[in-house]
Amino acid sequence: MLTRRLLVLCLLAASPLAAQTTRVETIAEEQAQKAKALGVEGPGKAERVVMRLISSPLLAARIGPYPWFGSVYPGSGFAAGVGYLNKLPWGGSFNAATGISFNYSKVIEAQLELPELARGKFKINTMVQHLDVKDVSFYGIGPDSAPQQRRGYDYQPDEMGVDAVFRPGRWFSMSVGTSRLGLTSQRHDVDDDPQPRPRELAPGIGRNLTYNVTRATAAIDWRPAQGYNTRGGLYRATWQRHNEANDKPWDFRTSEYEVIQLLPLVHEQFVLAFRSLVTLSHTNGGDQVPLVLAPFVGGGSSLRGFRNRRFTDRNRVLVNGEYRWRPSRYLDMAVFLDAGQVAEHQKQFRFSSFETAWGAGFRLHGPTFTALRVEAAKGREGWVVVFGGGQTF
Amino acid sequence: MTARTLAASLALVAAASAAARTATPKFFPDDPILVEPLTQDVKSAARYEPDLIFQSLENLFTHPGDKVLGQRARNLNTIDEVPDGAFFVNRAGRINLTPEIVARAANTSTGPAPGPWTVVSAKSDGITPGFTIRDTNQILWFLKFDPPGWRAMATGSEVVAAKLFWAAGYHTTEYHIAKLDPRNLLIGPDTRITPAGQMARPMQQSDVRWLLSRADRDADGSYRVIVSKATPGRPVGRIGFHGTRADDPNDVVPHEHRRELRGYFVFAAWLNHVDAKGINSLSSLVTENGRSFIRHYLLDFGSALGSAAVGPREGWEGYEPLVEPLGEVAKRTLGLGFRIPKWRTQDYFESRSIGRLPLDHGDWDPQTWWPHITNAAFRQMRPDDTFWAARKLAAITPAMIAAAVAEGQFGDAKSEQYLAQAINDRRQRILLTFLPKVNPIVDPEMVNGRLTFRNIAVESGVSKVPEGYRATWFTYDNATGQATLVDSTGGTESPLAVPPMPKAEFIKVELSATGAPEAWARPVAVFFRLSNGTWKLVGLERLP
Repeated sequence: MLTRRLLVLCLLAASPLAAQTTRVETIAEEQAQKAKALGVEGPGKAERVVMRLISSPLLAARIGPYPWFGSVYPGSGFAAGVGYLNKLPWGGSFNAATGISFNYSKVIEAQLELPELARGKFKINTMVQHLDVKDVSFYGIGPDSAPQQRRGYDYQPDEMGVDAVFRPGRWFSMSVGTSRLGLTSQRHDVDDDPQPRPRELAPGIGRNLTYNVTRATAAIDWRPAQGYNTRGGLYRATWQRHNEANDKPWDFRTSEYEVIQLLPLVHEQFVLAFRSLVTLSHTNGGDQVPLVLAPFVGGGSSLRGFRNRRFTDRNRVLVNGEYRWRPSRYLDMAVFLDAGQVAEHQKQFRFSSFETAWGAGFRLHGPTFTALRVEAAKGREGWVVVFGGGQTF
Repeated sequence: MTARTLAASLALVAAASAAARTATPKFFPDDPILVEPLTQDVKSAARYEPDLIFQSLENLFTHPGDKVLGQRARNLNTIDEVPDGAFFVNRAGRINLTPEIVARAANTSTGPAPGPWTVVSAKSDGITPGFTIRDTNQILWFLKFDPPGWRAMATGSEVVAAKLFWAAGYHTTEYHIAKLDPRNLLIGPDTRITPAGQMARPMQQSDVRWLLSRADRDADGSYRVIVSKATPGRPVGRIGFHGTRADDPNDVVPHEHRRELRGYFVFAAWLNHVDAKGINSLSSLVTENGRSFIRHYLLDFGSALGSAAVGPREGWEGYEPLVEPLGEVAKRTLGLGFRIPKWRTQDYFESRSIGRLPLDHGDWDPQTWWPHITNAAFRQMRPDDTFWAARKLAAITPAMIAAAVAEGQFGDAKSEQYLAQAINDRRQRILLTFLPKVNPIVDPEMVNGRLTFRNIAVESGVSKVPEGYRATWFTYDNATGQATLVDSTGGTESPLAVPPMPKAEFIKVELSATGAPEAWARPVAVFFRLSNGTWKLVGLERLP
């Protein structure tokens, strides 16, 4: 019996029916095996996590609430909050945000960009904003102030305005706008400064001022983008008139001229970048320019190597020069030289009076935006490290 | 003999038989197969659209797929070729291609039927617009445009690339250049649009006008468009470059080990198709002859040649990946910018009709070409894979290239001439680079007692004629894999003499070249089977 069974087994084992005899059969057997254990094609765990992250309000510029990160006011440090975005047809949008910074400065603002007209040639933007800015630096008026003289003031502007922008061509734009601006401010050192400064040395601080502001700008901007550039230039002139609504002697006008020129070399491997900025204030009679609206130099976007708003007066001249090289399409390196000065009168500007600073840094950027700028700059008062979220100029 | 002894003996015989059964012979009677069998009916396949950002991050910062590099492709037949299948059909070098056939490529019609086109959906999130329309024959087509100021650049480049990828052997769809009169566009009753960052809503004529405002418009108010036909079947996803589809029983070879996907690198480099990623493909569930299976198409070649779809090709594209290697960035950082990549200093040909390409390809190195984002199949690529692709390319002649370029209808003779020359020059650089990298002996045959073969590198004019060839002859036992040396013969060219061979069903010949590049000394092993009195090629191993 055993013998018979083994014989049958032997024959079966040797039978060609049990083996794949062709290549096609071999592959078919593999496919048949897989068919027994099919799965569902879809994202894996890591992909699901990434998809969730990308579609979250943190990264997606979609309609609805979103976390807001930025700066309440230059010098007030990093701020965070919440915002709400609604997009309208034809390039319009409504955007509202509120945030608070590390030094408790606060912002609440809303912008309504109306839909574009004439294929984007004409656009109207409106805005309303309330700021509560803490501890804004003030070192004294004029170029001779000392860093030890630093005092702080708090500042609460409320502004509501509208601007109309007309772009008749690709590079040329004109805009006009008006706004209502209310200012209140408080000095920190009124009670505790052993040697309080006279009020006129901190003009406008402690006063309640209300302005009707009108402004106009003409610009030729042939840089490819606003947020990051390696070529092109910007030539801008802006005029502003601040009329104190209650006829207080704080009316003033400013005119500002800016030239930015980028010179790419070796197919943009290197970029020589220059900026000059002149801001001039004009008053009638005994009117003054309030400190909070006066031109200044010092800080990460002007005279690096000096503290924020280190020098303030009615007029300023600022010159920046950078040598940039591009190790990556996302990383720019730069060494730079800044020079700036302020003066009560234009004729007081002197070549020998420029404060200078130099330094180096890097910028992480995309094709049209600068995400992070880190620079170390040295002026005569020491080193300053700059962290910024946009390009210097 | 007792029953117990007999039983033991039979058990031994059975075991031996079983062992013999499981020892797979090297060659089956149906080798080499020319068509990859698709034996299973795909009953259900869910549509899965991989996330582009995830895919990019995955390939930029991790190495998905098989970690062991250097493995031979696994979807080859026994003569080192890719059988026709779901990913690829042998055309160049297999069928009698002519310039006319290449110009026609996958086209089976003259384009959408005359009459109004009904907009079914629109692409509103990209920089250039796109529409999906249904013609009066109810056939679905996709419309794409050129960016403003670059008439013919994106549309023409896409047509040229599609024709040439088809000639190489990939599945592509039907492409036509057409003229769109906006008045010919009707909005379907159920057509909706989802503007960027907004909720979906019914499409309006103003949406059409807005989308068209981002496209290049001709002086008469019409638009030049590229019209591509919807692929047959139901879309189920995109080509993955590693692993297999979980729901496709016929898909048993990990994609990084498919030669046609590895070799896709060579063709993409040729046509500067820097956007050669999964999202620019389509997997479709088709039913033919009563069986459903998944076929994989290459699509969207708007970022090929001198076009970057939304503008001309940037200099870095093709020379660097989307994110440069950190080591290189560090060197350039410390070098104060004076470590300058070549793409910044070379001259370019630029025109509104074809975009931007290097002016001279004389020293272009296809090995250093980069797609925006690489993938597992490209990482697995070996010299025998690039040789395979280069050999296909050798069969695509300058006349075929000229015919494909003419299909682009660029309307700019000087630019067309340059483009055809650039494609030819890049082809030549690929042949020069990849054909001599391995032993380039192909098409061995035993005819009239002599061994004939071709040297594709020499034939293509990219290598010197070697001093000679050597053939080492073996008898071959197909069951055990045992090769027994018989003799060797040699000569300065094909054919070589066949020595007197003992009676055998299989013979193996190791063919190498002497006085030639070092790689050619490594023999190609070829196997012949005696069939009806003639020796038939059944095996070829270039780099086992």
